[in-house]
Amino acid sequence: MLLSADEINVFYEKFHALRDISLKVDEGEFVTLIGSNGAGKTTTLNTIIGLLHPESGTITFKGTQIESLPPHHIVNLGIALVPEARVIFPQMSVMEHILLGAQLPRAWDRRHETLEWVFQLFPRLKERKNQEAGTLSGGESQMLNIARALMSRPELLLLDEPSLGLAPKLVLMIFDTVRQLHKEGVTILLTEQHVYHALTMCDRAYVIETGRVALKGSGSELLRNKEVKQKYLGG
Amino acid sequence: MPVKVGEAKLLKDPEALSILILSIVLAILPLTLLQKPYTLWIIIITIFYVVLAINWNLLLGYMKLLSFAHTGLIGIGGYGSALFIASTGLPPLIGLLVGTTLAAVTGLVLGWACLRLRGIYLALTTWGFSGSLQLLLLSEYNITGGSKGIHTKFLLPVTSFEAPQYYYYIALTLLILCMMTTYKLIHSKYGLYLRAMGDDEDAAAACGVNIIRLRIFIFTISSLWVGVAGAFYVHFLGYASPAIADFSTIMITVLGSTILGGLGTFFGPILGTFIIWPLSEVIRARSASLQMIILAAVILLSLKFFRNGFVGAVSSLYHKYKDEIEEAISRLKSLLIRHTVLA
Repeated sequence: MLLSADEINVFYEKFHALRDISLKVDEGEFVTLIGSNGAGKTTTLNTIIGLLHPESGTITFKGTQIESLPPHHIVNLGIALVPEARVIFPQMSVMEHILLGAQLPRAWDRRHETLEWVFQLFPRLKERKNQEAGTLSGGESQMLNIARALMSRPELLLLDEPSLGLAPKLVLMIFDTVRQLHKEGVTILLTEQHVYHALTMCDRAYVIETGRVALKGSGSELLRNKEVKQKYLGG
Repeated sequence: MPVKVGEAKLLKDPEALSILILSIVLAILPLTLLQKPYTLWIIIITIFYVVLAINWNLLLGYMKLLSFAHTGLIGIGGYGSALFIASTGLPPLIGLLVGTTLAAVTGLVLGWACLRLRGIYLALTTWGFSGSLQLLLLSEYNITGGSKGIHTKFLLPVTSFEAPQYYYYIALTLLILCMMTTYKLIHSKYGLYLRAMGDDEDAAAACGVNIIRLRIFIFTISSLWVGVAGAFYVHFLGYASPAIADFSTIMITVLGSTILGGLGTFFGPILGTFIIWPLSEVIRARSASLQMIILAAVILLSLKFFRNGFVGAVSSLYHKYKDEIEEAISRLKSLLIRHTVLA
Protein backbone atom coordinates (compact mmCIF):
# COMPACT_ATOMS: atom_id res chain seq x y z
CA MET A 1 0.00 0.00 0.00
CA LEU A 2 1.53 3.31 -1.07
CA LEU A 3 -1.09 5.70 0.24
CA SER A 4 -4.05 5.08 2.44
CA ALA A 5 -6.48 7.55 3.94
CA ASP A 6 -8.78 6.26 6.65
CA GLU A 7 -11.99 8.03 7.55
CA ILE A 8 -10.66 11.55 7.22
CA ASN A 9 -12.85 14.48 8.16
CA VAL A 10 -11.91 17.94 6.95
CA PHE A 11 -13.57 21.24 7.83
CA TYR A 12 -13.34 24.72 6.37
CA GLU A 13 -14.20 26.64 9.54
CA LYS A 14 -17.64 25.14 10.24
CA PHE A 15 -18.25 23.65 6.82
CA HIS A 16 -17.79 19.90 6.88
CA ALA A 17 -16.03 19.34 3.53
CA LEU A 18 -14.88 15.72 3.74
CA ARG A 19 -16.90 13.17 5.68
CA ASP A 20 -15.19 9.92 6.61
CA ILE A 21 -13.39 9.61 3.32
CA SER A 22 -11.29 6.48 2.98
CA LEU A 23 -9.22 5.65 -0.05
CA LYS A 24 -6.22 3.58 -0.98
CA VAL A 25 -3.65 3.80 -3.73
CA ASP A 26 -1.31 0.91 -4.44
CA GLU A 27 2.14 1.28 -5.87
CA GLY A 28 2.00 1.63 -9.64
CA GLU A 29 -1.75 2.16 -9.70
CA PHE A 30 -3.73 4.77 -11.58
CA VAL A 31 -6.59 5.94 -9.40
CA THR A 32 -9.20 8.58 -10.25
CA LEU A 33 -11.52 10.66 -8.13
CA ILE A 34 -14.63 11.74 -9.95
CA GLY A 35 -17.48 13.89 -8.82
CA SER A 36 -19.16 17.19 -9.56
CA ASN A 37 -17.94 20.65 -8.62
CA GLY A 38 -17.71 21.15 -4.89
CA ALA A 39 -17.87 17.45 -4.10
CA GLY A 40 -14.53 17.55 -2.32
CA LYS A 41 -12.04 16.28 -4.89
CA THR A 42 -9.64 19.21 -4.61
CA THR A 43 -10.02 19.22 -0.83
CA THR A 44 -9.00 15.56 -0.76
CA LEU A 45 -5.83 16.24 -2.73
CA ASN A 46 -4.99 19.33 -0.69
CA THR A 47 -5.38 17.30 2.48
CA ILE A 48 -3.06 14.58 1.21
CA ILE A 49 -0.34 17.09 0.32
CA GLY A 50 -0.71 18.76 3.73
CA LEU A 51 -2.21 22.13 2.81
CA LEU A 52 -5.20 21.15 4.94
CA HIS A 53 -5.19 18.94 7.99
CA PRO A 54 -8.02 16.58 8.90
CA GLU A 55 -9.87 16.93 12.21
CA SER A 56 -9.93 13.18 12.51
CA GLY A 57 -8.72 10.17 10.58
CA THR A 58 -5.27 9.16 9.42
CA ILE A 59 -3.31 9.32 6.19
CA THR A 60 -0.38 6.97 5.73
CA PHE A 61 2.21 7.16 2.97
CA LYS A 62 4.76 4.37 2.71
CA GLY A 63 4.14 3.49 6.33
CA THR A 64 4.59 7.06 7.63
CA GLN A 65 1.66 8.88 9.14
CA ILE A 66 1.48 12.21 7.29
CA GLU A 67 -1.84 13.86 8.14
CA SER A 68 -0.31 16.43 10.47
CA LEU A 69 2.95 17.06 8.58
CA PRO A 70 3.56 20.35 6.72
CA PRO A 71 3.58 20.23 2.89
CA HIS A 72 7.35 20.57 2.42
CA HIS A 73 7.81 17.45 4.52
CA ILE A 74 5.27 15.51 2.53
CA VAL A 75 6.74 16.60 -0.80
CA ASN A 76 10.11 15.40 0.41
CA LEU A 77 8.61 12.00 1.20
CA GLY A 78 7.65 11.62 -2.45
CA ILE A 79 4.23 13.12 -3.15
CA ALA A 80 3.76 15.98 -5.60
CA LEU A 81 0.69 18.01 -6.50
CA VAL A 82 -0.22 19.60 -9.80
CA PRO A 83 -2.70 22.23 -8.57
CA GLU A 84 -5.81 23.28 -10.37
CA ALA A 85 -4.72 26.87 -10.95
CA ARG A 86 -3.34 27.34 -14.42
CA VAL A 87 -0.43 29.77 -14.37
CA ILE A 88 0.88 29.73 -10.87
CA PHE A 89 3.91 31.97 -10.86
CA PRO A 90 3.38 34.17 -13.94
CA GLN A 91 6.53 36.24 -13.63
CA MET A 92 8.98 33.38 -13.33
CA SER A 93 10.68 31.96 -16.34
CA VAL A 94 9.94 28.41 -17.37
CA MET A 95 13.35 27.34 -16.12
CA GLU A 96 12.87 29.00 -12.73
CA HIS A 97 9.53 27.27 -12.38
CA ILE A 98 11.12 23.94 -13.06
CA LEU A 99 14.04 24.53 -10.70
CA LEU A 100 11.60 25.54 -7.97
CA GLY A 101 10.20 22.05 -8.16
CA ALA A 102 13.58 20.49 -7.49
CA GLN A 103 14.59 22.37 -4.35
CA LEU A 104 14.09 19.63 -1.79
CA PRO A 105 16.98 17.37 -0.79
CA ARG A 106 15.41 14.29 -2.34
CA ALA A 107 15.31 15.91 -5.77
CA TRP A 108 18.18 18.39 -5.88
CA ASP A 109 21.05 15.99 -6.49
CA ARG A 110 19.25 14.33 -9.37
CA ARG A 111 17.98 17.52 -10.93
CA HIS A 112 20.02 17.31 -14.15
CA GLU A 113 18.89 13.81 -14.81
CA THR A 114 15.27 14.71 -13.98
CA LEU A 115 15.44 17.77 -16.16
CA GLU A 116 16.49 15.69 -19.13
CA TRP A 117 13.58 13.34 -18.54
CA VAL A 118 11.12 16.22 -18.20
CA PHE A 119 12.38 17.94 -21.36
CA GLN A 120 12.06 14.66 -23.18
CA LEU A 121 8.44 14.46 -22.07
CA PHE A 122 7.79 18.08 -22.95
CA PRO A 123 10.11 19.24 -25.73
CA ARG A 124 8.01 22.42 -26.02
CA LEU A 125 9.17 23.53 -22.60
CA LYS A 126 12.78 23.12 -23.62
CA GLU A 127 12.21 25.47 -26.54
CA ARG A 128 10.66 28.02 -24.20
CA LYS A 129 12.83 27.63 -21.16
CA ASN A 130 13.70 31.33 -20.91
CA GLN A 131 10.21 32.60 -21.53
CA GLU A 132 8.06 34.06 -18.76
CA ALA A 133 5.51 31.51 -17.59
CA GLY A 134 2.70 34.06 -17.89
CA THR A 135 3.16 34.18 -21.65
CA LEU A 136 2.66 30.45 -22.25
CA SER A 137 -0.48 29.05 -23.85
CA GLY A 138 -2.99 27.05 -21.83
CA GLY A 139 -1.64 23.67 -22.85
CA GLU A 140 1.96 24.74 -22.31
CA SER A 141 1.30 26.05 -18.83
CA GLN A 142 -0.35 22.80 -17.88
CA MET A 143 2.75 20.97 -19.17
CA LEU A 144 4.83 23.32 -17.06
CA ASN A 145 2.76 22.55 -13.97
CA ILE A 146 3.25 18.85 -14.48
CA ALA A 147 6.95 19.34 -15.22
CA ARG A 148 7.43 21.30 -12.01
CA ALA A 149 5.75 18.59 -9.99
CA LEU A 150 7.86 15.89 -11.65
CA MET A 151 11.06 17.71 -10.75
CA SER A 152 10.57 16.63 -7.13
CA ARG A 153 10.80 12.98 -8.27
CA PRO A 154 7.44 11.95 -6.84
CA GLU A 155 6.41 8.37 -6.33
CA LEU A 156 2.83 9.53 -6.12
CA LEU A 157 1.64 12.30 -8.41
CA LEU A 158 -1.58 14.10 -7.52
CA LEU A 159 -3.19 15.80 -10.49
CA ASP A 160 -6.06 18.21 -9.86
CA GLU A 161 -8.20 18.45 -12.99
CA PRO A 162 -5.33 18.86 -15.43
CA SER A 163 -7.73 19.18 -18.34
CA LEU A 164 -9.77 22.04 -16.91
CA GLY A 165 -10.46 24.72 -19.49
CA LEU A 166 -8.32 23.18 -22.22
CA ALA A 167 -9.36 22.68 -25.83
CA PRO A 168 -10.45 19.09 -26.64
CA LYS A 169 -7.26 18.33 -28.54
CA LEU A 170 -5.11 19.49 -25.65
CA VAL A 171 -7.22 17.52 -23.18
CA LEU A 172 -6.31 14.36 -25.08
CA MET A 173 -2.68 15.37 -25.17
CA ILE A 174 -2.58 15.90 -21.41
CA PHE A 175 -4.26 12.55 -20.87
CA ASP A 176 -1.67 10.91 -23.12
CA THR A 177 1.06 12.44 -21.01
CA VAL A 178 -0.53 11.21 -17.80
CA ARG A 179 -0.84 7.74 -19.27
CA GLN A 180 2.79 7.79 -20.29
CA LEU A 181 3.90 8.88 -16.84
CA HIS A 182 1.94 6.00 -15.40
CA LYS A 183 3.63 3.66 -17.83
CA GLU A 184 7.02 4.95 -16.69
CA GLY A 185 6.21 3.92 -13.15
CA VAL A 186 4.70 7.00 -11.49
CA THR A 187 1.68 6.22 -9.35
CA ILE A 188 -1.19 8.54 -10.25
CA LEU A 189 -4.10 9.97 -8.29
CA LEU A 190 -6.15 12.13 -10.62
CA THR A 191 -9.31 14.19 -10.18
CA GLU A 192 -11.29 14.72 -13.33
CA GLN A 193 -14.53 16.04 -14.71
CA HIS A 194 -14.07 14.29 -18.05
CA VAL A 195 -15.53 11.22 -16.42
CA TYR A 196 -15.54 8.97 -19.47
CA HIS A 197 -11.87 9.50 -20.31
CA ALA A 198 -10.83 9.23 -16.72
CA LEU A 199 -12.65 5.96 -16.17
CA THR A 200 -11.24 4.40 -19.33
CA MET A 201 -7.69 5.28 -18.38
CA CYS A 202 -7.64 4.40 -14.71
CA ASP A 203 -7.30 1.15 -12.82
CA ARG A 204 -9.70 2.12 -10.08
CA ALA A 205 -11.92 5.05 -9.25
CA TYR A 206 -13.83 6.65 -6.40
CA VAL A 207 -16.99 8.63 -6.92
CA ILE A 208 -17.20 11.47 -4.43
CA GLU A 209 -20.49 13.19 -3.62
CA THR A 210 -20.92 15.95 -1.04
CA GLY A 211 -17.76 14.98 0.76
CA ARG A 212 -18.37 11.22 0.94
CA VAL A 213 -17.21 8.28 -1.09
CA ALA A 214 -20.44 7.32 -2.86
CA LEU A 215 -19.11 4.52 -5.03
CA LYS A 216 -15.87 2.80 -5.75
CA GLY A 217 -14.64 0.14 -8.11
CA SER A 218 -12.53 -0.53 -11.16
CA GLY A 219 -12.80 1.87 -14.07
CA SER A 220 -14.70 -0.54 -16.29
CA GLU A 221 -17.08 -1.47 -13.48
CA LEU A 222 -17.97 2.13 -12.88
CA LEU A 223 -18.35 2.79 -16.60
CA ARG A 224 -21.11 0.20 -16.63
CA ASN A 225 -22.67 1.37 -13.40
CA LYS A 226 -26.18 2.74 -13.90
CA GLU A 227 -25.87 5.55 -11.39
CA VAL A 228 -22.57 6.72 -12.83
CA LYS A 229 -24.03 6.62 -16.33
CA GLN A 230 -27.00 8.66 -15.26
CA LYS A 231 -25.18 11.28 -13.24
CA TYR A 232 -21.88 11.72 -15.04
CA LEU A 233 -22.09 10.26 -18.49
CA GLY A 234 -25.38 11.79 -19.61
CA GLY A 235 -27.51 8.71 -19.91
CA MET B 1 23.02 25.16 -3.65
CA PRO B 2 23.49 27.86 -6.23
CA VAL B 3 20.58 28.49 -8.52
CA LYS B 4 21.58 29.71 -11.90
CA VAL B 5 19.10 32.48 -12.31
CA GLY B 6 19.67 36.15 -12.88
CA GLU B 7 23.35 35.76 -13.67
CA ALA B 8 22.87 38.10 -16.55
CA LYS B 9 25.44 40.51 -17.87
CA LEU B 10 25.60 43.72 -15.93
CA LEU B 11 24.31 45.86 -18.77
CA LYS B 12 21.33 43.61 -19.35
CA ASP B 13 20.45 43.60 -15.69
CA PRO B 14 18.70 46.87 -14.79
CA GLU B 15 18.82 46.12 -11.06
CA ALA B 16 22.58 45.59 -10.88
CA LEU B 17 23.08 48.55 -13.18
CA SER B 18 20.96 50.77 -10.96
CA ILE B 19 22.98 49.80 -7.89
CA LEU B 20 26.18 50.66 -9.72
CA ILE B 21 24.98 54.00 -11.06
CA LEU B 22 23.48 55.10 -7.77
CA SER B 23 26.64 54.14 -5.88
CA ILE B 24 28.84 56.12 -8.27
CA VAL B 25 26.58 59.17 -8.22
CA LEU B 26 26.41 59.17 -4.43
CA ALA B 27 30.15 58.59 -4.13
CA ILE B 28 31.07 61.65 -6.18
CA LEU B 29 28.24 63.85 -5.01
CA PRO B 30 30.07 65.41 -2.02
CA LEU B 31 33.01 66.30 -4.27
CA THR B 32 30.80 68.42 -6.48
CA LEU B 33 28.32 71.16 -5.94
CA LEU B 34 26.53 69.60 -2.98
CA GLN B 35 29.23 70.13 -0.40
CA LYS B 36 27.09 71.98 2.09
CA PRO B 37 26.92 70.09 5.40
CA TYR B 38 23.15 70.56 5.43
CA THR B 39 22.81 68.74 2.10
CA LEU B 40 25.07 65.94 3.27
CA TRP B 41 22.96 65.58 6.39
CA ILE B 42 19.81 65.27 4.36
CA ILE B 43 21.35 62.62 2.15
CA ILE B 44 22.62 60.68 5.17
CA ILE B 45 19.13 60.65 6.65
CA THR B 46 17.73 59.72 3.24
CA ILE B 47 20.10 56.76 3.19
CA PHE B 48 18.82 55.76 6.63
CA TYR B 49 15.31 55.72 5.19
CA VAL B 50 16.41 53.89 2.04
CA VAL B 51 17.77 51.02 4.14
CA LEU B 52 14.47 50.89 6.01
CA ALA B 53 12.44 51.00 2.81
CA ILE B 54 14.49 48.26 1.11
CA ASN B 55 13.91 45.99 4.07
CA TRP B 56 10.26 46.86 4.42
CA ASN B 57 9.72 46.18 0.74
CA LEU B 58 11.29 42.77 1.26
CA LEU B 59 8.37 42.00 3.56
CA LEU B 60 5.41 43.69 1.89
CA GLY B 61 6.66 43.83 -1.68
CA TYR B 62 8.05 40.35 -2.03
CA MET B 63 6.29 38.34 0.67
CA LYS B 64 3.01 40.30 0.91
CA LEU B 65 3.47 40.56 4.65
CA LEU B 66 2.34 43.83 6.22
CA SER B 67 4.57 44.43 9.22
CA PHE B 68 4.89 47.54 11.36
CA ALA B 69 7.73 46.17 13.45
CA HIS B 70 10.34 48.39 11.82
CA THR B 71 9.97 51.38 14.12
CA GLY B 72 10.28 49.17 17.18
CA LEU B 73 13.34 47.47 15.71
CA ILE B 74 15.00 50.84 15.04
CA GLY B 75 14.48 51.56 18.73
CA ILE B 76 16.00 48.22 19.70
CA GLY B 77 19.03 48.73 17.45
CA GLY B 78 19.55 52.36 18.44
CA TYR B 79 18.89 52.22 22.18
CA GLY B 80 20.49 48.79 22.40
CA SER B 81 23.73 50.18 21.10
CA ALA B 82 23.59 53.41 23.08
CA LEU B 83 22.79 51.69 26.39
CA PHE B 84 25.36 48.98 25.79
CA ILE B 85 28.27 51.38 25.29
CA ALA B 86 27.07 53.56 28.16
CA SER B 87 27.22 50.64 30.56
CA THR B 88 30.38 48.95 29.26
CA GLY B 89 32.40 51.89 27.99
CA LEU B 90 33.22 50.00 24.80
CA PRO B 91 33.54 51.91 21.50
CA PRO B 92 30.38 52.68 19.46
CA LEU B 93 31.42 50.30 16.72
CA ILE B 94 30.97 47.39 19.14
CA GLY B 95 27.70 48.99 20.21
CA LEU B 96 26.58 49.03 16.60
CA LEU B 97 27.25 45.31 16.33
CA VAL B 98 25.45 44.63 19.61
CA GLY B 99 22.45 46.78 18.61
CA THR B 100 22.27 45.02 15.26
CA THR B 101 22.42 41.59 16.87
CA LEU B 102 19.73 42.58 19.37
CA ALA B 103 17.45 43.74 16.56
CA ALA B 104 18.05 40.55 14.58
CA VAL B 105 17.34 38.38 17.61
CA THR B 106 14.21 40.40 18.37
CA GLY B 107 13.18 39.92 14.75
CA LEU B 108 13.77 36.21 15.03
CA VAL B 109 11.71 35.88 18.22
CA LEU B 110 8.97 38.19 16.95
CA GLY B 111 8.93 36.31 13.66
CA TRP B 112 8.77 32.97 15.37
CA ALA B 113 5.90 34.20 17.52
CA CYS B 114 3.74 35.94 14.98
CA LEU B 115 4.61 34.95 11.42
CA ARG B 116 2.04 32.22 11.55
CA LEU B 117 -0.47 35.04 11.46
CA ARG B 118 -1.49 36.60 8.19
CA GLY B 119 -2.80 39.88 6.89
CA ILE B 120 -4.32 42.22 9.39
CA TYR B 121 -3.32 40.10 12.40
CA LEU B 122 0.35 40.38 11.64
CA ALA B 123 -0.03 44.12 11.06
CA LEU B 124 -1.79 44.55 14.42
CA THR B 125 0.67 42.42 16.38
CA THR B 126 3.71 44.20 14.99
CA TRP B 127 2.04 47.55 15.48
CA GLY B 128 1.48 46.54 19.09
CA PHE B 129 5.16 45.65 19.38
CA SER B 130 6.32 49.01 18.02
CA GLY B 131 3.78 50.88 20.11
CA SER B 132 4.75 49.18 23.35
CA LEU B 133 8.42 49.72 22.69
CA GLN B 134 7.79 53.42 22.12
CA LEU B 135 5.89 53.59 25.44
CA LEU B 136 8.68 51.73 27.16
CA LEU B 137 11.24 54.21 25.85
CA LEU B 138 9.09 57.08 27.12
CA SER B 139 8.26 55.65 30.51
CA GLU B 140 11.46 53.94 31.69
CA TYR B 141 12.92 57.28 32.58
CA ASN B 142 15.82 55.89 34.62
CA ILE B 143 17.17 53.85 31.78
CA THR B 144 16.10 55.58 28.58
CA GLY B 145 15.85 59.15 29.75
CA GLY B 146 12.18 59.28 28.81
CA SER B 147 11.19 61.82 26.20
CA LYS B 148 14.49 63.64 26.63
CA GLY B 149 16.38 60.60 25.42
CA ILE B 150 20.04 59.93 26.17
CA HIS B 151 23.27 61.31 24.80
CA THR B 152 25.66 58.79 23.38
CA LYS B 153 29.04 58.76 21.69
CA PHE B 154 29.45 59.55 18.02
CA LEU B 155 30.52 56.71 15.81
CA LEU B 156 33.82 58.42 14.99
CA PRO B 157 36.13 60.49 17.18
CA VAL B 158 34.86 63.57 15.30
CA THR B 159 31.21 64.51 15.51
CA SER B 160 28.89 64.54 12.54
CA PHE B 161 28.58 68.32 12.91
CA GLU B 162 32.29 68.79 12.45
CA ALA B 163 32.85 66.23 9.70
CA PRO B 164 29.60 65.13 8.05
CA GLN B 165 31.49 63.86 5.00
CA TYR B 166 33.01 60.97 6.99
CA TYR B 167 29.59 59.95 8.21
CA TYR B 168 28.30 60.33 4.70
CA TYR B 169 30.77 57.77 3.39
CA ILE B 170 30.04 55.35 6.22
CA ALA B 171 26.32 55.63 5.46
CA LEU B 172 27.02 55.13 1.77
CA THR B 173 29.10 52.02 2.50
CA LEU B 174 26.27 50.60 4.59
CA LEU B 175 23.78 51.41 1.84
CA ILE B 176 25.87 49.71 -0.84
CA LEU B 177 26.29 46.65 1.39
CA CYS B 178 22.57 46.56 2.04
CA MET B 179 21.70 46.90 -1.65
CA MET B 180 24.19 44.21 -2.62
CA THR B 181 23.09 41.68 -0.03
CA THR B 182 19.45 42.29 -0.88
CA TYR B 183 20.23 41.89 -4.57
CA LYS B 184 22.06 38.64 -3.84
CA LEU B 185 19.21 37.46 -1.67
CA ILE B 186 16.47 38.00 -4.21
CA HIS B 187 18.55 36.36 -6.91
CA SER B 188 19.30 33.32 -4.80
CA LYS B 189 17.12 30.30 -4.32
CA TYR B 190 15.48 32.18 -1.46
CA GLY B 191 14.48 34.84 -3.93
CA LEU B 192 12.87 32.17 -6.04
CA TYR B 193 10.96 30.96 -2.97
CA LEU B 194 10.02 34.54 -2.11
CA ARG B 195 8.54 35.24 -5.50
CA ALA B 196 6.76 31.90 -5.50
CA MET B 197 5.30 32.61 -2.09
CA GLY B 198 4.22 36.11 -3.06
CA ASP B 199 2.34 34.73 -6.07
CA ASP B 200 0.63 31.76 -4.47
CA GLU B 201 1.46 30.60 -0.99
CA ASP B 202 -0.27 27.24 -1.18
CA ALA B 203 1.26 26.38 -4.52
CA ALA B 204 4.68 27.34 -3.19
CA ALA B 205 4.15 25.11 -0.17
CA ALA B 206 3.08 22.29 -2.47
CA CYS B 207 6.39 22.76 -4.31
CA GLY B 208 8.12 22.04 -1.05
CA VAL B 209 8.85 25.58 0.18
CA ASN B 210 8.86 25.74 3.97
CA ILE B 211 6.73 28.87 4.20
CA ILE B 212 7.04 29.60 7.92
CA ARG B 213 10.79 29.10 8.00
CA LEU B 214 11.27 31.25 4.91
CA ARG B 215 9.20 34.03 6.45
CA ILE B 216 11.13 33.92 9.69
CA PHE B 217 14.44 33.88 7.82
CA ILE B 218 13.59 36.91 5.67
CA PHE B 219 12.03 38.72 8.61
CA THR B 220 15.22 38.22 10.61
CA ILE B 221 17.43 39.50 7.77
CA SER B 222 15.15 42.49 7.42
CA SER B 223 15.28 43.15 11.20
CA LEU B 224 19.05 42.91 11.13
CA TRP B 225 19.35 45.71 8.58
CA VAL B 226 16.82 47.83 10.42
CA GLY B 227 18.96 47.34 13.52
CA VAL B 228 22.05 48.50 11.61
CA ALA B 229 20.16 51.58 10.43
CA GLY B 230 18.88 52.36 13.94
CA ALA B 231 22.26 51.97 15.61
CA PHE B 232 24.04 54.00 12.93
CA TYR B 233 21.43 56.75 13.18
CA VAL B 234 21.87 57.07 16.94
CA HIS B 235 25.65 57.32 16.72
CA PHE B 236 25.36 59.71 13.82
CA LEU B 237 23.17 62.06 15.87
CA GLY B 238 25.11 61.33 19.06
CA TYR B 239 21.76 61.11 20.71
CA ALA B 240 19.00 58.54 21.14
CA SER B 241 15.47 59.83 21.57
CA PRO B 242 12.06 58.19 21.27
CA ALA B 243 11.64 60.18 18.06
CA ILE B 244 13.86 57.66 16.24
CA ALA B 245 11.18 55.07 16.87
CA ASP B 246 8.31 57.41 16.09
CA PHE B 247 5.64 55.49 14.31
CA SER B 248 4.01 58.15 12.19
CA THR B 249 7.05 59.92 10.75
CA ILE B 250 9.05 56.80 10.05
CA MET B 251 6.36 54.41 8.96
CA ILE B 252 4.59 56.97 6.75
CA THR B 253 7.86 57.93 5.08
CA VAL B 254 8.86 54.32 4.49
CA LEU B 255 5.40 53.34 3.31
CA GLY B 256 5.05 56.36 1.04
CA SER B 257 8.50 55.94 -0.49
CA THR B 258 8.05 52.26 -1.18
CA ILE B 259 4.64 52.67 -2.75
CA LEU B 260 5.66 55.70 -4.80
CA GLY B 261 8.81 53.98 -6.03
CA GLY B 262 7.21 50.63 -6.73
CA LEU B 263 6.26 47.91 -4.31
CA GLY B 264 7.89 44.57 -5.02
CA THR B 265 10.50 46.01 -7.35
CA PHE B 266 14.13 46.12 -6.38
CA PHE B 267 14.84 49.75 -7.20
CA GLY B 268 11.40 51.12 -6.25
CA PRO B 269 11.95 51.77 -2.55
CA ILE B 270 15.39 53.28 -3.24
CA LEU B 271 14.11 55.69 -5.86
CA GLY B 272 10.97 56.46 -3.88
CA THR B 273 12.92 57.45 -0.78
CA PHE B 274 15.29 59.65 -2.74
CA ILE B 275 12.23 61.52 -3.96
CA ILE B 276 10.13 61.59 -0.80
CA TRP B 277 12.58 62.39 1.95
CA PRO B 278 14.45 65.34 0.42
CA LEU B 279 11.08 66.65 -0.73
CA SER B 280 9.57 66.38 2.71
CA GLU B 281 12.64 68.09 4.20
CA VAL B 282 12.12 70.99 1.85
CA ILE B 283 8.45 71.17 2.76
CA ARG B 284 9.19 70.91 6.46
CA ALA B 285 11.55 73.85 6.23
CA ARG B 286 8.49 75.88 5.26
CA SER B 287 5.71 74.30 7.22
CA ALA B 288 5.94 71.28 9.46
CA SER B 289 2.23 70.56 9.48
CA LEU B 290 2.13 70.54 5.71
CA GLN B 291 4.69 67.72 5.57
CA MET B 292 2.35 64.91 6.61
CA ILE B 293 -0.53 66.22 4.51
CA ILE B 294 1.59 66.30 1.37
CA LEU B 295 3.08 62.88 2.09
CA ALA B 296 -0.37 61.39 2.55
CA ALA B 297 -1.54 63.03 -0.67
CA VAL B 298 1.44 61.59 -2.56
CA ILE B 299 0.65 58.10 -1.25
CA LEU B 300 -3.02 58.35 -2.16
CA LEU B 301 -2.34 59.75 -5.61
CA SER B 302 0.25 57.14 -6.47
CA LEU B 303 -2.09 54.40 -5.25
CA LYS B 304 -4.80 55.83 -7.44
CA PHE B 305 -2.84 56.52 -10.60
CA PHE B 306 0.13 54.24 -10.63
CA ARG B 307 -0.27 51.20 -8.52
CA ASN B 308 3.11 49.79 -9.34
CA GLY B 309 4.94 52.99 -8.59
CA PHE B 310 7.52 54.76 -10.72
CA VAL B 311 9.55 51.67 -11.43
CA GLY B 312 6.44 49.70 -12.35
CA ALA B 313 5.19 52.49 -14.61
CA VAL B 314 8.54 52.86 -16.36
CA SER B 315 8.93 49.13 -16.90
CA SER B 316 5.40 48.72 -18.27
CA LEU B 317 6.00 51.69 -20.57
CA TYR B 318 9.22 50.04 -21.69
CA HIS B 319 7.46 46.76 -22.37
CA LYS B 320 4.74 48.56 -24.29
CA TYR B 321 7.15 50.40 -26.56
CA LYS B 322 9.95 47.85 -26.43
CA ASP B 323 10.24 47.47 -30.21
CA GLU B 324 10.12 51.21 -30.86
CA ILE B 325 12.76 51.87 -28.22
CA GLU B 326 15.07 49.18 -29.52
CA GLU B 327 14.65 50.44 -33.04
CA ALA B 328 15.39 54.00 -31.97
CA ILE B 329 18.52 52.85 -30.15
CA SER B 330 19.82 50.91 -33.11
CA ARG B 331 19.09 53.85 -35.42
CA LEU B 332 20.93 56.15 -33.03
CA LYS B 333 23.86 53.76 -32.99
CA SER B 334 24.13 53.57 -36.74
CA LEU B 335 23.84 57.35 -36.94
CA LEU B 336 26.67 57.75 -34.45
CA ILE B 337 28.80 55.26 -36.32
CA ARG B 338 28.19 57.02 -39.62
CA HIS B 339 29.12 60.36 -38.07
CA THR B 340 32.28 59.09 -36.48
CA VAL B 341 33.27 57.43 -39.73
CA LEU B 342 32.63 60.63 -41.66
CA ALA B 343 34.48 62.69 -39.12
